[in-house]
Amino acid sequence: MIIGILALQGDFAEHKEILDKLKVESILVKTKEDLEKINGLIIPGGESTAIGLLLEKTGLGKQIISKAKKGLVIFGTCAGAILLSKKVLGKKEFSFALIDTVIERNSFGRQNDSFEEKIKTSFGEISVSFIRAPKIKSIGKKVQVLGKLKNEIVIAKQKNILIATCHPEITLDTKLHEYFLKMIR
Amino acid sequence: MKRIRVNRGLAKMLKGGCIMDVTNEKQAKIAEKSGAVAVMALERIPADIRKDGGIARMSDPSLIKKIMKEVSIPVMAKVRIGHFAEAQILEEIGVDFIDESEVLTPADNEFHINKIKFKTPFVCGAVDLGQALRRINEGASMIRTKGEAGTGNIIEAVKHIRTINSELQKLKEKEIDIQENWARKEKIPFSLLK
Repeated sequence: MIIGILALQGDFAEHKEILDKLKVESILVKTKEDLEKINGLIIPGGESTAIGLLLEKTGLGKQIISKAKKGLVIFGTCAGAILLSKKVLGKKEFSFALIDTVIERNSFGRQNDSFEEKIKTSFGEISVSFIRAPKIKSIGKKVQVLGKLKNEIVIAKQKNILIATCHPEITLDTKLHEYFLKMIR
Repeated sequence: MKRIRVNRGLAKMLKGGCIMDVTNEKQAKIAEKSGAVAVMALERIPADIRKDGGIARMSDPSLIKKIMKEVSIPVMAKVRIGHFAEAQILEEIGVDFIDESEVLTPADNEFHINKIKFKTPFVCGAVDLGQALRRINEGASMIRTKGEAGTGNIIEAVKHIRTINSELQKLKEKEIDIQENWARKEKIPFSLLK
């Protein structure tokens, strides 16, 4: 099994570090050809506007959408979650629109409001960081909630699409990645 | 420790991206639309600061606030080296990154700001590994190479990043006592070098 990590911009190296820790083979995805080699895709954190622009210009975005519709399992953290959501509040930018969620960027505030926290999930407690994190404002009927921070939904899934508004790759907690790998197997 | 990890986290999110210097909210908007991952809010761009001479200070807070309102990407601003009061103002305004910058006129010829005390992350310039590690030890979350500000000539910046990388590579291959000696000479805790 080979996992692809979208490497246009952002913290893709940290996702690779986690996969290395789990002894899972991974490649950095930069071209359409790279997409042909993988069994699952991670969309990392970063700036969603910058990543979105590059996805559009390279044509990678369209290719990923068609792969996802054929069942490719995709996991997005923070910027990745924004890009995968059906609707981004107040912003017109590139979106995969692969999961029925409404999301708001920088919804927890600016960097001074960023924090590290333990959250409860359906697969146990995990330690994550929220960095200028978005909030999931509402979800469709087919979306399953996997993790919450107080009343906020922070991890959600719809069929082959998994999103998290936080970063397990910064705290190096492997549980969420293990869950993602189970979705592929 | 948690705070520094969250702050280094933001630095990691910026990797592979472009941070644009901007002097008003209109330029900030253009930078965001063009795919910049952050903007640096400045009253004057470094080339003009150099040309004008005199004392270069932190930008006007009202300008920084206007830019923060205009864009949704992170906003950075510069303070003079060692000028902790300017940094306190920027922290209060809520910028996402503070650049303790040699482009402005230094305020302290001996000490940099004690950055560990701040909630907001800092980025600092360095010309070699010793400087980079001293800044990290003071609490910097991100290091950039210095270059020759305002000239558009990037050769110095390239030279400095090569220096830092090759020093790191060479030290890695050395015996532990030589590493310890180097750390002592450069006034860096050995644990940090490791």
